[in-house]
Amino acid sequence: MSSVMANAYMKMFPMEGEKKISAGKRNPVLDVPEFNKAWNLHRETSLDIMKRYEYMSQCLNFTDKDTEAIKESKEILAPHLEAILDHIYWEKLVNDPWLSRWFRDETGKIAKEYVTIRRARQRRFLLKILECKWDEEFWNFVRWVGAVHVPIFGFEDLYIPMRLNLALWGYIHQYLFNFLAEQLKDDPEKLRRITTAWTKLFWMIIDVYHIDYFGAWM
Amino acid sequence: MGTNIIRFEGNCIKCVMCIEEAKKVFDYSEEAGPLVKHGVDIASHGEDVKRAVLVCPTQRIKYHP
Repeated sequence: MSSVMANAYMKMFPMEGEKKISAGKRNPVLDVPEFNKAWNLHRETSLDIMKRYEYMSQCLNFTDKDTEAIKESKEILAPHLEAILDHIYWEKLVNDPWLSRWFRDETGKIAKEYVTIRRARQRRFLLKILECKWDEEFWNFVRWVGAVHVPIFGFEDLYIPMRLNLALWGYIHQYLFNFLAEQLKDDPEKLRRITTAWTKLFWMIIDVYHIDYFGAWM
Repeated sequence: MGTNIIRFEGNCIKCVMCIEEAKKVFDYSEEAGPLVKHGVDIASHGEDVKRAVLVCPTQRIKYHP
């Protein structure tokens, strides 16, 4: 078997290419209560997206106060959403020497129609976030958006590197925070509340988005 | 103007988000983009259609509920 994904996988895990020899003994790791608990937690939060959300919410202390803070931010962000997206896609991404690689056609020119589609998809993502409905439908949507960036549905040539996702989310994070800091410079408490909530939410989104990228050990 | 009418104006860039938002209402054609399914009860999927209108990057979907 040879494909972009298979080659990438074998480079990442060279041990997979070696001869398999049984160690000849059972692995007692699940006899250790802490590991058993961790395994069950991983298994359950991989199978049930709402358990994943609940677990991550506890880890990050993402509470109703954070949801309220994100709702508060809607009145600041929504009127500027188009300008924010224009900046991210038409100023930052298409001009960044590395990130723009994913927006160029085979001749090296920026594929404008493709950028328009990516921008529209990001717009839909942000609109769904601003609805603040953290239900199963929302988290399945986040997971699905991540999953379609890897060959999980059989498109072996499709593999968007995780570092690209992190660069994009990192840039959106940074840009939103600078924007909010400017808008809320006279209300530092509100700024703290909103940026704290968005930071927690970004981490939960990044976690769920990448569920189908990796096993938990990676 | 009648009610529950969907019209398309201008060009489609084939992002297929309308299909994703209202899969019970739209079929997809490689040439034309989204098409309203024959005989579909648009009214019963009005909220899905509204979301499709909202996410369309070229704003070519016009919905009259």
